[in-house]
Amino acid sequence: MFGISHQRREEFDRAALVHIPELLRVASRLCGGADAGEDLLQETYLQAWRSFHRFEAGTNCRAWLYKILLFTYSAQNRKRARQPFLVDLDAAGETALLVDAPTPDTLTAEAVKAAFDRLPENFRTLVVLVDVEGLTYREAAAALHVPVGTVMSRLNRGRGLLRLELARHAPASSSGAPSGMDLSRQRRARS
Amino acid sequence: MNLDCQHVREVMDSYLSEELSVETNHGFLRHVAQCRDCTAELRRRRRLRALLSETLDVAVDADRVRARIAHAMDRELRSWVRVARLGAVAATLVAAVAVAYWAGRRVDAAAYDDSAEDHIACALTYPDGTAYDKVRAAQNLESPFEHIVDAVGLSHGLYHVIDAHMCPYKGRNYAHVVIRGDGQTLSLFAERAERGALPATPTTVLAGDTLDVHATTRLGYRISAVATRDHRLFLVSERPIDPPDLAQDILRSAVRFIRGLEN
Repeated sequence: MFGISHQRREEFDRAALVHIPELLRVASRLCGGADAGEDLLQETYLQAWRSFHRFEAGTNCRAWLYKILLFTYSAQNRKRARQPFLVDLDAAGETALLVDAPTPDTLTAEAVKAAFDRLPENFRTLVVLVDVEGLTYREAAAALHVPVGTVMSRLNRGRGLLRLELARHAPASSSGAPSGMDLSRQRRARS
Repeated sequence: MNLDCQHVREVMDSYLSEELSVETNHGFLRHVAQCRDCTAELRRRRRLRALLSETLDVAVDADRVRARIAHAMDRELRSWVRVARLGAVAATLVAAVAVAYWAGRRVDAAAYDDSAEDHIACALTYPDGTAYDKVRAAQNLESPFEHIVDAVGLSHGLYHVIDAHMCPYKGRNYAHVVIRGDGQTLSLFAERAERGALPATPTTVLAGDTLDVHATTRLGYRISAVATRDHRLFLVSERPIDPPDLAQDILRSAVRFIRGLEN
């Protein structure tokens, strides 16, 4: 650490600081606010700076920063909760798989935000990364350090839960046809 | 590929994320073109995504955050420099304390002289023809040195142990093994290290061992000394022991015995 040179700092600035706008947006979205997002991003960059000697020049710095960001976010959440972060992914996702709810016709920003906030954290993170930020499944898998299949499975459940939450709180006539229940029955009949 | 509504709904989000294979993509588009319900659902999911982006959008000032992060990194770097400086100061202090301790440690300044004097006063007074008497040695040795002769060995080439006893001298209490042969008398002294470190001397290292042997000449006698954790050993001779390996053998076996006591 003592021998950190000016050149090393320039390397870091060149490779890592250029991703601040994108990562700040993601951090703020994950945290639900700009202030918390800035704090998360600062901690992310300090962690990255401390371990920059482990970063291999020429590899994907953006993906490396995403990993650190998500790890830091997860660690902060665990700390805040003062208990291990436990979500029964299977149970939560099972509901979404059984009832493939159609997206309601009338969607409002408030309803979407409320439904999103009710998602378990792991699903929320993936929805932000893929459906909002546009990361590919492969990029999201690398950032979260999980297999691509896990990303697809969690996304499927997360999106399903989101639609389910929206359908539950939507006016009775606003759901598209056929209903999710109908589709579930159709799927069971097919299998 | 013909996809039904159920399958189309299942892959609809992957379509929006452009993650479908070319073949599934074609099948998806063919179905949606003919299915009013799925077209409507696709429109609603697009709208959902747009609303998600919109509702999760947070106004950010990237330039300000960049400056904030750069400042935090500079501050951290400065704190490391401070730690490094403090570390250097601390290391200097530790080194100074170590030097002071080394300089101020107790040294047994008379260690070599006393061993030479006791050799003269005791070992050289044994009459010619004295033979080792196991019973006498056992009576005159004290714990924990009772078995020092067994450990050292009665004979080493031309040299033979002729006696062993506790030998009080100037407040010391040597275990004294007297060895004779090749026209000279040797003394092997072992004592507890109660008077401090051995005085500095030119040091030689025994081959094949990790012993530091302090070699010096006092009162015309050659003295080889070894310091173990709690003891000091001295081998005193009138002239160099021939062959030199023999002196090493005697010292090494004595040191092994002493270390056995210490462990």
